[in-house]
Amino acid sequence: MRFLDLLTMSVNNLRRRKLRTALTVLGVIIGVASVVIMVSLGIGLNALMLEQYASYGDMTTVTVYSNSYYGGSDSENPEAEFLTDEVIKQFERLDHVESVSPMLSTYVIMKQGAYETNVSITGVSREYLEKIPLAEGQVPEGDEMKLIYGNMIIQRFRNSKTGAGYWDTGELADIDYMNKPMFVIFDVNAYYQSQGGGENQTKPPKKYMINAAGVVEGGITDYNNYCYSVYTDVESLKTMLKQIFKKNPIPDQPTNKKGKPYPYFIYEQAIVFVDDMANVTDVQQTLIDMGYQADSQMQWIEQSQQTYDMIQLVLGGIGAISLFVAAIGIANTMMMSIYERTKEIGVIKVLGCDMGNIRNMFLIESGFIGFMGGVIGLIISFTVSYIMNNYLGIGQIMMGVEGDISRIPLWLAASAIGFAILVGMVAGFFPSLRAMKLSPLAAIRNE
Amino acid sequence: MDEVKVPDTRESVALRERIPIIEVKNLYKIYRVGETKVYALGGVDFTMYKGEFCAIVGPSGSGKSTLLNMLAGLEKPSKGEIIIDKVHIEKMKENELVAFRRARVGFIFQSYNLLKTLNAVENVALPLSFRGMPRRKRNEIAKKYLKLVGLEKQMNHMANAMSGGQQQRVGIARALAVKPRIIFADEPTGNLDSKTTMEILKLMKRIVREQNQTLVMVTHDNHLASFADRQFHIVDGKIFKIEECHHEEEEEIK
Repeated sequence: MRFLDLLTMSVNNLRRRKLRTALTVLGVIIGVASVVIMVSLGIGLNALMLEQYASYGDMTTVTVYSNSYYGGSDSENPEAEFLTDEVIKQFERLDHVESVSPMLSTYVIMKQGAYETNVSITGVSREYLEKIPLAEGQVPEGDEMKLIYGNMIIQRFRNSKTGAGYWDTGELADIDYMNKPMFVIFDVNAYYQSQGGGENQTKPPKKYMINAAGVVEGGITDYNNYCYSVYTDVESLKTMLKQIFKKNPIPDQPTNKKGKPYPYFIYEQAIVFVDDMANVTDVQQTLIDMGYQADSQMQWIEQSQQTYDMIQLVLGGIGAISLFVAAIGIANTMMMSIYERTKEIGVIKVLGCDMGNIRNMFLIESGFIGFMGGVIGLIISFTVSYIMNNYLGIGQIMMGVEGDISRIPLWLAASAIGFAILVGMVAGFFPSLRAMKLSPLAAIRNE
Repeated sequence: MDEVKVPDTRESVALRERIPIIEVKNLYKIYRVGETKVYALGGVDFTMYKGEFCAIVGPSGSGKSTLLNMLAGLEKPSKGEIIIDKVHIEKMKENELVAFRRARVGFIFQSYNLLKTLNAVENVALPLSFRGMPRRKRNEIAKKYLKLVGLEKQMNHMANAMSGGQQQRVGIARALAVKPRIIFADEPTGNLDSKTTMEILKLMKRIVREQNQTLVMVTHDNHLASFADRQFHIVDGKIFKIEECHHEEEEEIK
């Protein structure tokens, strides 16, 4: 028997009992819609969380600290754990590591016109600089030291005469990074000594005029990963510091037991760029095994993800229960239908309808119930999802971030319909076997 | 048993070189009711030939329907052999029996048993669809047979929008459409009035003659049975007598 003929017969039979078919389909609709909506909420929550973490910073980076840098190490030989150029090169050779940027911070005072501020300049690698989204300017070329300003730094400048800043007056400092030079004082201690007055007053340290290379993208209140820092190329910063401090100890650099500086630079942090999110945890563990402290967003994400997986499982389970009830409904409907059609099944058996065809006819019937329920249930799911995302603002309430709380990806839509058909056919399987085995003698019996 | 000599006519010549199509040997059907055995059929032997119109006659409970069911492969015999078209069917599995019926057997029911969701043409075409015939071709055949049974005007009527006689004509067309070697009819006129009964009977006989098919009809009515070429009288599960009829009667009903 041709598939099309089978399908026509099955659909005809469903049309014969419209109300009963509709009620059974309604069960499947509710089941499918609840599963899809529940799973879409789970997916939405998870995606919102990832988006939230992504806004805090790059998810493929691992930040490495050295215990010894802050004197926190009990090690006999703290030098071995310092983050030096040597160690950075070692990190770069690790699997899945794309590049490594050292982080060298130095605390400075910046002045432009009537305004000044205390701020850290962070020296990073060129690869790191290139990842920073700039509103204007570009990554500095050549050896000359140039600065990239975070978009919120401007808030920190205060009037040097009144001492009032943005937080006191609500007025932004009149700073032009790109067109006016910035005067930077590196030897902060010497500067404060010179300001102290009295007998100990010393000559103020030299001010350096340093040009800006760019400004980080974003308004002055838009938080991002780079908004509160001033960046420069680490090599140019090192050159500058050596030039300024010569043989004297550089502030913020550790000293040995005798209080003497080391002959090389020691970084407080290193940023390791990993090729893929999936490898972040492995790289992080490797770094920890090497004796460093390593942090990444991934560890938080993984924890949250486990929580959300749980939530999704529970939500999906609740949906699955209603789908299960729907499946029982299908089985019941098919059973009823077979009892009613005992004679008819007998007749087609007498007329030579293959037993497999009889079974398939009923399987198609129950599968079709599942299919209709799946399609309509999906339409309802999309509608409900749309309403939740656009009118109720549930995402805002639950997560405190903008974004769609309910997401139905294509795979979910497709598998919902596939699954509904499958549920229908599984529910119809035993009834269809029963139909297949019915005796043809039923046809002969006279009413 | 009464064997009546037939005069030499065209048909009796054909009968002499007759080809057996149904052979039944020592057929038993035993039902168990509690401890007691009930012999629905207790040892039946006979042969039916190609192109013959046979009637199985007997009172209710005589085992005639059981016999028909076993000939059509709807019930399994307890003992004995059934050879149809040189094939033993008593040992076939159910799906083989279905295939056997699909290929060789047409069936006419007492209560017509048309599918209510289908119209006349679709009902006649139904057994052809079981053979995987495409819709257009099988509908053509179905229309041809509906014309043959005189239902040109009712082709698109739904099954339950027709009278009993019309429904049975559809039933006959359905049995014929598959071009079966054998047609089984189980009390085909049992639900019809006497006038329609005669029409249906004549129709069946005419068509079976034209197409040289074998018709096996079960009935409890001796009068109806007398239209058959041979009557198998069955009482209490045994063949009581086989009666061969004069074919003048056939002329009469024509």
